[in-house]
Amino acid sequence: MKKYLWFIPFVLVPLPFLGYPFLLSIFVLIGIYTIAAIGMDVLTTWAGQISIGNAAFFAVGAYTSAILVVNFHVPFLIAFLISGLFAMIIGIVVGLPALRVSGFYLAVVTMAFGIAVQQIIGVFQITGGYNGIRNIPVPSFWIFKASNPVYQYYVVLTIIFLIFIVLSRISFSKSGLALFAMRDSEVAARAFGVNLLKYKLAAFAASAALTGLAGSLYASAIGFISPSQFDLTLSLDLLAMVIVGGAGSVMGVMIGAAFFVGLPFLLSGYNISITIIQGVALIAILLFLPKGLLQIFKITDLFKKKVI
Amino acid sequence: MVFQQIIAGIITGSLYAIVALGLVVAYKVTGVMNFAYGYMGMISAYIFFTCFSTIGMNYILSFFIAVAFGSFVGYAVERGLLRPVRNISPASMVIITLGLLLVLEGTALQIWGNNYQQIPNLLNGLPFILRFSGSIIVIPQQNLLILGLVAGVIVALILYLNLTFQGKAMRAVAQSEEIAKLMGINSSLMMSISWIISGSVGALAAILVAPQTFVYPDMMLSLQIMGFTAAVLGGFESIPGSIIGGISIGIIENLVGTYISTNLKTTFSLAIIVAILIVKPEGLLGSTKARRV
Amino acid sequence: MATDHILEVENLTVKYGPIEAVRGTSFFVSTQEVVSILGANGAGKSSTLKALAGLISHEGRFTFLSKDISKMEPYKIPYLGLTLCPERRGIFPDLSVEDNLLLGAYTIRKNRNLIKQNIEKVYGLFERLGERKKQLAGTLSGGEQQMLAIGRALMGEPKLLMLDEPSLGLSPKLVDFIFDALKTINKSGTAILLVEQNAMIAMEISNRIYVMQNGKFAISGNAKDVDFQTLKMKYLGV
Repeated sequence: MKKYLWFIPFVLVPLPFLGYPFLLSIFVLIGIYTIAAIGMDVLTTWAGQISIGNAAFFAVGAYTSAILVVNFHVPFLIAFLISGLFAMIIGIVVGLPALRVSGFYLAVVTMAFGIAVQQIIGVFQITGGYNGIRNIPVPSFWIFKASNPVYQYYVVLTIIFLIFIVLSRISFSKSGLALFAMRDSEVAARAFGVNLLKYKLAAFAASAALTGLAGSLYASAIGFISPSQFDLTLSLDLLAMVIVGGAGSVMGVMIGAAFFVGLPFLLSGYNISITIIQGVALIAILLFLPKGLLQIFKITDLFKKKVI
Repeated sequence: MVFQQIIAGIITGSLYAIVALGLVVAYKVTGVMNFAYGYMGMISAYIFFTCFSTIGMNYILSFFIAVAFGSFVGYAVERGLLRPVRNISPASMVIITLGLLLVLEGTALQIWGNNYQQIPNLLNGLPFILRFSGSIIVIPQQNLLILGLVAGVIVALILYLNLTFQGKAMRAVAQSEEIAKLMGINSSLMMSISWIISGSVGALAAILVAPQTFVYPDMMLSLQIMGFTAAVLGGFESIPGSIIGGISIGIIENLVGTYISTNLKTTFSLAIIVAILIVKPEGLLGSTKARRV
Repeated sequence: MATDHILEVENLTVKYGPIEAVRGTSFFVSTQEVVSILGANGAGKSSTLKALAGLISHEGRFTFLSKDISKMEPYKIPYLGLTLCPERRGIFPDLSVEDNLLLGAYTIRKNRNLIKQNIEKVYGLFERLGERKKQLAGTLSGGEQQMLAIGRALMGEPKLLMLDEPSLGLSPKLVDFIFDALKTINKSGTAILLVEQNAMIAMEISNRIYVMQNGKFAISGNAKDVDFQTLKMKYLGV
């Protein structure tokens, strides 16, 4: 954990001053997906559940934020928070029934959920139907407009850092330990009196909230959202970011997000379908580098599972 | 009017039923829940399209080639991807099939692109008309073909699994691979065969549904989810479960589509699965014995 | 290497990670013999049979009817005439009694008539099975399941039948019945290799016994030459 603290100030903070605005926009996108990937990570690594429908929460966050900002002129910060809250509520509503079933079935249910939300969004007027919502303005924070990628970058970085701190606190608390116990062995955890459903639900809700927040940032960063952006592939990508990058740490999922966001840009010259590479990467890393690409960068493996 | 919808529901339901069947057979014998199932079928639909529309082969010949290709895909995935890593956790197996989904989707995009390709029905003649208690029911010939083929496949599968030595051997492997080996059963071979069956059934489903959905990379997504729903309803256990699950969902979905909204079909299916799983987490027809999770 | 040894085992070693369950044991079974491997729980008896059946990894060399089966794939072994009746019966619960028996005949599946004959023989030996042909095997009682397991193992006409703790969980009356059946089976020409915790009943039908302790044989010899009381105290953890 201490390694990362050194990394951050020396590399990430001064990054913008290298002076490549386009690159910076990409990093902003990476940061946004990192937040969503942290949401996925919380669900898989902490609670041991597989969800292949998180694109739904991403969409919920994006659309909530976009509608509030465009139609109701709500200030971005408030829209941002409401998006996360709303996504969390949906997460709880869906999680309550869904989490009672075993792992496999949860995957089925979340898959259906992801598609269902995509369908619902496409149907209603307020969400702009299949055409989506355009011209989502860049957020303004009191006096300055975050149209400069540099501001966006620092905003996203700060949010990630705050999340990191909150999650670190939780992971060392009684609740956090209960979560890890549950992930490792549901039977054992139950024997120790851990209320499984409560913790699974909490993890699911947290995952939804984080993904929703990321969606809100996404809407404002890209400026245009439509149902086709929130498909099954996005859900799978979020899962893949966690696995390819390295489950259990912000650094790990950030590497995963960087990999998946950067891939299309790196391969733009070649004629290979990105989706194939994503799939191959997911399978290859799972089989050969199960701790993710992070393994390449880390030398020691202390505290790997429990530390964010 | 209702009867028309019910009949239509049975037709779509039969497709859901065989997708569920294909999933259940592979799952029971090898323990892998194949989230790439629909996409495997999709590739066969593209093969059919290539043979029939692009090259100009005979419809039926293209059909057979595509189904044969589907069985090959089933075999290749089991033998090449899944068998070598059989000792990893079931959750990881699921993730591998998810990776496979991406690979197949990408491959289709790469080779054939994103456009919706058209495939005609085999039977285009005058539809059958039934008069039934005062109302008229219209059944397109192609739908009867679908029903007939699906029923045929189901009957063949039931006969195979219950009456032949090999079929019984496969069921034995599904219950305990180790003990099946003690009987002299080549369990690895049985697993490959189960995936060959699964693959060809998936191909069949894709080709049958292609005239309606058009051929494109995500064409089987909806059918796959419905198939999964049907399988879950049936407890992921048995052939009867899959059939009942499939037909039920087909009928309910059609009724919902007619009387409520066509665009929210998946949402309602989801609501149904969730409702059923709350009441009976092991599915309508499933048993409560320990499962491989 | 005597010519009437149908099974010869040399230096069998079975390890579970760092733990050696079986440490370099050697033994044999001759034609038409009943040989028992006895010992307390965890002594390594089950592992021995599992290794012979090819189910777990092992070191050592064993031949069956002069064929080296040490590295053979498990599903090929029954074709040679060596069959294992696994611990805890190992019947297929969701298949009928009849289907279970038919699967026992998998190795002779091409020979319909022989299968018919053998199934009648099994029903003759175990009447209760005959009464429940279509019943799902999982619904049978413990004793019936054991009969089914043995009957199934006989369907392929094995030359050597291995049984892993057949008396487990059965009432004394049933144990007597099962072991009487084993005597009959032996008399009709099938050799038996038995792993048992119930030393007394095992010794009653055995020609020779081996007593296992911590992975090695502490005693081996003719059943009638061994004193049961000493056995009980020293080696069986009773």
